[in-house]
Formats: sequence, structure tokens, C-alpha cells
Amino acid sequence: MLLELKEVSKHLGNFHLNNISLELPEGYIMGLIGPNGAGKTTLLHLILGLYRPENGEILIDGMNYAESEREIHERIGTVLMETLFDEGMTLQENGDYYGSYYKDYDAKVLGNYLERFSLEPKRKYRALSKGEELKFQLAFALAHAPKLLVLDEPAGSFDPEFRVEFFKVLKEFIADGTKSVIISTHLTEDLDRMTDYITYLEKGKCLLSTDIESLRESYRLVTGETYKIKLIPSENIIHVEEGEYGTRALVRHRKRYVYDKELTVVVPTIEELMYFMTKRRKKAR
Amino acid sequence: MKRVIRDYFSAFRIHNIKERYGGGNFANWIPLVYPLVIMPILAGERSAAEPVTYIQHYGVTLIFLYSLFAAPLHPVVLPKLLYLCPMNASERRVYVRQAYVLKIGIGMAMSILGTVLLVIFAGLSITYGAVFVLSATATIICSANMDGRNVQKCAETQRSVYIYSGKDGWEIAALIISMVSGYFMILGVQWQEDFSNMGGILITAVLIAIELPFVVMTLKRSRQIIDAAVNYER
Repeated sequence: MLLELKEVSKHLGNFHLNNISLELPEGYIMGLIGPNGAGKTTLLHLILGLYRPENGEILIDGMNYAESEREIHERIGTVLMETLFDEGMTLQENGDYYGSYYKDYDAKVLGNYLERFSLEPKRKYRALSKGEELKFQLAFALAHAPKLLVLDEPAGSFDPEFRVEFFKVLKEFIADGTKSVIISTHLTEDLDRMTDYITYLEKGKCLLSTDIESLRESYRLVTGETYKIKLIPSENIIHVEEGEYGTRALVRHRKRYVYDKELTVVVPTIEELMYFMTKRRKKAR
Repeated sequence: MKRVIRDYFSAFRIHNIKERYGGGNFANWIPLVYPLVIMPILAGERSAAEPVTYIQHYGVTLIFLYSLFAAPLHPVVLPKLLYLCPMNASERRVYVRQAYVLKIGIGMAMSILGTVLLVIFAGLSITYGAVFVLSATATIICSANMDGRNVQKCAETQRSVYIYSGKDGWEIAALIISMVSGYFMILGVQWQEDFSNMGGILITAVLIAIELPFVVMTLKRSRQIIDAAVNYER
């Protein structure tokens, strides 16, 4: 496993990240999803070593931060929604300065990605837009040959054209089967196409962390007459939404359960999954 | 050390100065008010007859002013990216300590230089000068420990946490005492008092007795401040 979290817990003020466990093997992309305030950024900060867990263990490439902090940071590339680099320096200067901390940093690789992302190396960092800042962070992260890319909601700031390029870059990154990506995002339509693993957080708890195929086997979106949906055993129902033209329900799928023929049963998209999970949470309040 | 020196001087960029001194950070201007505003007015009373004295006093104070001006530009905290770069805690501690020593060291060097010039050109007594340097040291260290945000909550804005809990009051007291005693010295020089009489010796002794424990306490605090900056989570 490239990334392992074992029953990790963390208190931050009034927020509690509770008993998070997940695994990400080499060569795969994990989508980290959840509503606002679920704890996605806190979890990524724990993975990056910025926070230390109060309980549990975080292993990156078999190493923990207590013993191998330097080696772990060599292996991680980061894109965060913050201004990380020196605003007074050019992109080239930032790359050279911070790249000198990494053993495997290659200025030529940075230059290639800057060209690919249409960024001018001589431009001052503070002159960049938000999207361009994130592009530079991505270019820099790739330039020091990490094994794990940790991305905190970058895609929302990219234009549609670059978003395609962005996911192409991620696919190229994991192509050799030795590297992985964990990406926190609200753009769930992209996750359906791109990700191999999904971790869903809600109010500091991990509601599910599984591979996409298992997820598709575990849930169904059922549409039809309300009274027919109510015949589904209640313990299988996540949430029911009644509409003007019919009712939809997210249900836990049991292989032996036979749905009524007049119900439409489909595999939910990740967006639909998130939607119903969030609705269930609000109703529980 | 090369990186530390490079980072020290790169802080003197216009956008960084605007960020630290603009945006409502009025408290950062407080230590600069006396040398910039009050002192020239007081010195001006004598400048008509003694323009050289005016230039000496103002020029020397401007040297000391550098350390006050520079303090807010060098907070005792690493940029977030350096917590993500391949360094372990001991390497970060070395970096933070070197940056801290450089910041304090340059400030103290400037104030000692100013004091030496006052002794040579303005007739300041050596005893007086020693008290002045002590006051300047306390001011610089207090200001450094408070991330240069004098008399303000010391908060790294990205995380909005108090770094120093429960002891801010002592540092503020030390800062005020050191600034008052420092300006008292300047005032004495401006008024050409040599304080060599018993009254002067007593005042000097009281100031040293008050200032010295604060300086020692502040230096002890410095280790805590440096330790707090070693990890992103404090």
C-alpha cells in the first residue's frame, strides 16, 4: 500500500475527525468526497504531516512521520488551495529555490510542464490568477518526481479545457503503476470517469472507503411509484426523495433482493451518491 | 545559513512591507512614533542653535529605528511550503533558530552602532549607553517574539491561533518598559543631562533592576517561540 490510514483521529477546536481508515495501493487514484466541513482538508493535512494524529497511524510508502519525515516529504507532491510560493519571485526562481530542497527535482521537467500549462517562467508569482497558481503548484509537484500526489480541490479553479488536460496528466502520472493520487474534489462527474477508489467523509467520519467497483455493487438508485419504493426493506434504504413525477431512493444493494419490475434500478453516479448521503444527514438532524 | 540570509533580505519587498504595515496593522507603527514624530519636535527646540546635534540625534535614532521597522517583516514562523518540503523537525529548528538569531543580531548590531555613535558624537555616558542597549535589546527581542505585531494578538493568519497563551501580558509589559526606558535615555541625551549625580545613578539602577529580569524572561521565552515554529501545528 502506498497510503494507509489506520483508525486515525484528530481534534481541531470543536471539530473531531474520528476513526478514519483507508488504503490506497500504488497505481490508483482515490477521490476524497464529502460535504463542506466534512473534514477533507483536515484529513489531507494529516496525510501531509502538517497535523499529527492523536490516535491511529499514517503510513506513506510503509513509513511514518515520526521516523521518516524527510523521506516522506520527498515522496509527496502537493497542490493546495492556498498561495504557497513566494509572491515576489518569478515561477523559475520559485522552482529553483524550493526545488533545491528535493533530491529528485528537475528544472527541465518543471520547464516542460510550464510550457504545457501555458505558464511563462519569468512571470512573477503574484501576477498569476488562482487557476494559474494551482497549475504552477501542479507543475512543481510533478517536477520533483513524487510517488504520491495530494490534491486539495484543484479542479474547480481550472477552466473546462484545462480540466481535461489536468485529468490526462493524472492518468499519465499513475500509468507506470508505482504512483498514486488522492484528490479532494466537489466535481464528482469527473470522479466517475477518473477514480479507482472513493472515500466519503461526513462530519469527521468516514462513511465509506472502497474501490469504485465495490461501490457500484453496493448501491442502487431506484426510481418509481412511492408505494412500490416503500416496499423495499427500510434497513436497505439510505434516503427517499419524493418528487412531483415520482420518487427516487438510494438503497443498499443486496444481490438476492428482487426489485419490483416497474421500478427503474440503476447504478448511481458518485454525484447522486453524495447527494442522497447528504440529504440523509440533513434529515437525521 | 545562505537560505536564512536570503530569506531575511527578501522580506524587504514592497508588497511584504505593505502587508505588514498596511491593512490596519496600526500597532506596528507605535514604536516608530516617538523617533519619527516626537523626538524631532523635541530636538528641534535645540536645533536652531545646534543643528549638528539635531542631525546626530536623528541620524542615530534612525539607525535604531531600523530594527523596529524590520521586526514585523520577519515573523518567527516558516512559510507553509517549508513545512511540506523535505526537512525533518531538527532541520527546521536549525533554520528557525538561525533566522531568529539573525533577526535579533542585526537589530542589536544596529542599536549598538547607534549607541556607540551617541557616545562618540553626542557625549552620551557609557553607563547610559549600556542601559540604552539593554532597553533596545529587550524591545527587539519582545518585538521578535510577538512576530513584530506589537501589542496585538500574535496570530499566524492562515491558522488564526494564539501562539503564546497566558504570557502575552508579560511581554507587552516588558516591551512598554523597554521602550519607555529607551526613550527616557534619548530624552536625557537630548536634554543634555549626564545623570552622573545620585539621582541619575538611582534612576539608572532602578531601570536596570526592572529591565534585566524582563530581558532574561524574554530570552527564556525565545526558546518556546522557536520550538513553536518548528512544527506547523503548534
